[in-house]
Amino acid sequence: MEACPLYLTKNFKNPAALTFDGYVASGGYVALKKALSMQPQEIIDLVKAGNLRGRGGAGFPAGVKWGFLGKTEGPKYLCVNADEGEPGTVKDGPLMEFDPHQMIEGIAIACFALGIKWCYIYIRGEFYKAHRIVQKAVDEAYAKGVLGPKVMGSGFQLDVALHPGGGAYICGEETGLLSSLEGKKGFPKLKPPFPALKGLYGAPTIVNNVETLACVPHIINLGAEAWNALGTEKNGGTKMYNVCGHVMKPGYYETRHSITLRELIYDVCGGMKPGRTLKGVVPGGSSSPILLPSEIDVRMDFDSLGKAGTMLGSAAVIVMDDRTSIVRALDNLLHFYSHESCGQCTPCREGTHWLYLISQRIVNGEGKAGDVDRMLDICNNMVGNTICVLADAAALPTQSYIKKYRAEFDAYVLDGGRVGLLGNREEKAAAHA
Amino acid sequence: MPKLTIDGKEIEVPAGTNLIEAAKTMGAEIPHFCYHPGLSVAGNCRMCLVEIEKAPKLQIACNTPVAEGMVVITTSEKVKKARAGVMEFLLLNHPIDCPICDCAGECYLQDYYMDHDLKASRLEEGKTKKQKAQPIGEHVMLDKERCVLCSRCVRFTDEVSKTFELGIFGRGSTEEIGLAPGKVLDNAYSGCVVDLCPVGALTDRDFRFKSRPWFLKETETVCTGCSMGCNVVLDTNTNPYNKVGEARAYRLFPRENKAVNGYWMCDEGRYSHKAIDQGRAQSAALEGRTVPLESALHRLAGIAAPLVKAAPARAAFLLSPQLTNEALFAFKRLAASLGVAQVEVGDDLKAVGKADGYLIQADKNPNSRGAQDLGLAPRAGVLGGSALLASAEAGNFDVLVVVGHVLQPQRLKALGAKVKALVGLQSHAHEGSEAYGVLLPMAVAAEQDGSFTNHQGRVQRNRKALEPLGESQPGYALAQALGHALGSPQAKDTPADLFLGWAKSLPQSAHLTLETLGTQGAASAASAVPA
Amino acid sequence: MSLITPELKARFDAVVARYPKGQEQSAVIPLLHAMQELGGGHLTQEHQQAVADFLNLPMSKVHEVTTFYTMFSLKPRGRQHLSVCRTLPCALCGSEDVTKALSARLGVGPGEVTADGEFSYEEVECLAQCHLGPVLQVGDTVYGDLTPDSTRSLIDTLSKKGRP
Repeated sequence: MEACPLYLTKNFKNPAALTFDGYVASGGYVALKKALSMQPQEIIDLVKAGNLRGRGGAGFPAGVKWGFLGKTEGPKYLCVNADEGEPGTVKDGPLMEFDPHQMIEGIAIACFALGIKWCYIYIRGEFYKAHRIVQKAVDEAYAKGVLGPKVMGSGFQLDVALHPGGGAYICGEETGLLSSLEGKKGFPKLKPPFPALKGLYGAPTIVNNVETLACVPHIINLGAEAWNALGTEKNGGTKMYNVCGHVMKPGYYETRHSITLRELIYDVCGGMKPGRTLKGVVPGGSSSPILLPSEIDVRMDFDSLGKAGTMLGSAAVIVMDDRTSIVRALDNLLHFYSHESCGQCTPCREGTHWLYLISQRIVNGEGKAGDVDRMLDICNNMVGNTICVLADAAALPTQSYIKKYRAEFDAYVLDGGRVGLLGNREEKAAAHA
Repeated sequence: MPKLTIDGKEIEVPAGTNLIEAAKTMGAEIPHFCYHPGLSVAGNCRMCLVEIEKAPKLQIACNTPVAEGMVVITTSEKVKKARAGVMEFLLLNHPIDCPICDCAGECYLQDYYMDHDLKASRLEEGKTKKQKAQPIGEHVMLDKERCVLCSRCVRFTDEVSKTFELGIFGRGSTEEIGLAPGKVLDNAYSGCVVDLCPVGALTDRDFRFKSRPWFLKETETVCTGCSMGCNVVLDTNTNPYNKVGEARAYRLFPRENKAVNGYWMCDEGRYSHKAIDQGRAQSAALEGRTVPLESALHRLAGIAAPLVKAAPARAAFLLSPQLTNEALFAFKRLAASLGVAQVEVGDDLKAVGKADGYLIQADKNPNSRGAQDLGLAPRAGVLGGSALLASAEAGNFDVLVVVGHVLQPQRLKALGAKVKALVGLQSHAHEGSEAYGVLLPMAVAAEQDGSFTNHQGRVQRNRKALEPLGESQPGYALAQALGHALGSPQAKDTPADLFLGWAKSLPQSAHLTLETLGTQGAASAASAVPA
Repeated sequence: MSLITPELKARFDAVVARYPKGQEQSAVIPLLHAMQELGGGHLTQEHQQAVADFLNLPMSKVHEVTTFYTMFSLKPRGRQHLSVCRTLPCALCGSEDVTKALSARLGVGPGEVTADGEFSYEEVECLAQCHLGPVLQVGDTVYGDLTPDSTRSLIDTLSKKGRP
């Protein structure tokens, strides 16, 4: 596997980079200076040419999204989605804690390219540390003239403010984030209209993920060709992946975008624990369909995983070894989606909860024939019929777990017993009151 | 205007129309819960999902504006499955309260279940339990289990009454509609949330357990609580085999009129139906002694008729802005035929309250405008209400016919002492009415056909829903009876005839008839409001 | 508005100033966080009303927010409130045993407060520290790679009102 030069995580072991001067010493704010001398459209075209895919989960080409921004004399906004919450995902938190100025530089370049003067960084409420560190960096950026009325002495004006979340996964959905920023419940909004035309406070808005923006200075510095060379066709650059669960070396890593899942698990993360074999792996956060051990020779980019019937999503790899009860793993996730459903629309509100209820009955040893097929049918009634994709995020994995491990589900129901998440037999839970 | 196709039929509707409204124009209904034309779009129930050619996913009709060449399909298997799916999700935790729920018979879940579902429940686990039968205001009861979280009620208190009593609290499947802490649902339009609720989550406390809706007769009429004339439906039941209690009128609720009240009405008007059956004057009386109507009219013929004939200048009609146009016209005609010039509506005696800048008017009478248009308002040469009464108390009038106005007992006593023939035409009994030499019982608006002119100058149809109680008669009929008794027989005109007479007396109104008023009314001649 | 002292007003004004004029509602979440901290870890109706009055919002809009977001609590919490992650990556690494050990060590169930008012805990969803699972968060500190033993030791340390 080809060695990967580090860009996004280059400063992660360099505490000096937390300060403005340290960041500059590491090569920072050169891209911003260069960008300020370019034409805004040039920058957008460059990001398009660099095939920067949105790293929040959807993988939508960032340059194309930028191109959608509505034209207006009035205010426009950039909202940074730092509401990292997709189970398995650890990248935006470290990016903010270890290299906040990188993100700020990306924000400034993006705002300059888009003619945006106002940026809100929506940081997950639980991220106290990241919030403190980013606020300090923003304050310093102001003090050094990187933010404020004359960015780096140019005529470009930019204000950045931080905004905390309150604890809700749904605020990672871009319009849920906007509703939350507006001071309301994190209810996703009806689309159309799309945020690029009508977003925060009704104004044209771009919502970008932390990592997406952190890539921007590097695209400026490297140019599109070199950035693309680090990835695959239509998926440019390096990528951060977090690998967790049953591997020797869990953690977040920056590698080429062209790495395979097998390489990630076995070469980068040291493979399985002693005596264990792989049973299943989720490639892109809990909302992505699961892959079998036979399916891990797939490139970890958006398009390759899409073709394989799953998704890269937030690039969060959850590894499950042969101890794992897939039935219990799904049950764990169904609780998650039921708990995090905002409740606004019928299929998601009722469907996620119903799926969890059936799953609970099964894991408590009270499953019946027909339960598993019923879960599949409920998923069918959820997918595509809701305001946002949380319903799909619950339903599509559910269908994949059941379809790929059907025998295990059937056996669990037939057995009538209780098996723990890590394969241990358990006492049956007390009967329902 | 964009042309589009819905289920193979081409229609043309104004740009900006959403697909639910577009379908309505061709008589098709796209089922929905959360959509309401008087509120912002929520798009949360997902019942209105339809198939649109070239769109990869089903789209909600409520939030999709028409587009030129759009092809919409509402009858495909995909749409049917989506609707059945949504119904299953909505019914999943819905309590089977139908036998005890007031909404049965007018419930969206019931209706759509019959049209789009018809399957048994697949829930093996218990339903989510929430608080039931919680009074949240003087008029409204909340049952949280029945709620489908469409948010119509919350949007109403946010956008229409702007009083913010309600919210949706919590998250996910345990979400609930509720009162904001410290609040009670007490805005002046609180009853409207019951109209809005598509299921039995919000029900009317006044109507609670009183009747099944299919036993009720619906009459499209107008409210008489103030000069707004909100368009309403009056529900009545006179069938002794299935009615509960003595009252015949059960409830009032608003119906749509974009020119008048939109979709709403105030609580005061909503509960004014009680006055139809309570405290009524059902018999004639002579100085407080009940007599048959014939006897009372006989007395009038004997005592009042000669007085009027001898000195018409010492006779007066004090009419009321509560009377229909037909009644006002009949009395005006009667007075003219008797040579009585002192006929006027007593504007300064009428009930007045506070306007709220929205629907509630300060003038608590349905027909001040109608009286004004007929020339019965205060004017030169004629004594206004208070002035008339003062003059009568001073002994200047032998005959005073008080139609509708409820006067103070002391005033009535003083008038009784000085006016030889004090005649009252009243719908409700009140203190001091024994001072009337002759009291004739008058029917209420719900017991007669006719019309009122609201403060905008809009003439609206008041439809008869009930027979007059006891021996009471509509105002226009009493005018005819009075005419006969006072020696000036009037034509036996129906309300429709009287309306024609009324319309002709107003220029540019001659084209109107009672029938053509329809359900939405029409501009009167004297108004600046377009028809 | 006795809850809002002049110092607090100045703090709150600074928060509101981050948002455009007319969009004061945006300040709801940061102000509620501040209020909850002042309230010793939970929000009363009075707190919510104070924020509503300060921002000129109806109470319904504030209460919708406090009942929607999991970081806000309308019930009392311990002085040290522990959030232990239950989502799959941590569960795969043994969070269920950690949670059992925590509950046993504290002697309370989720959502309950210890008799001395010092501790409470709840199971939360993914805290985005999955490479360190199982994890729990106390205040702004995240403790990872937990085992039942290390969890018990952690409580011992936290009980001394010091942080490791």
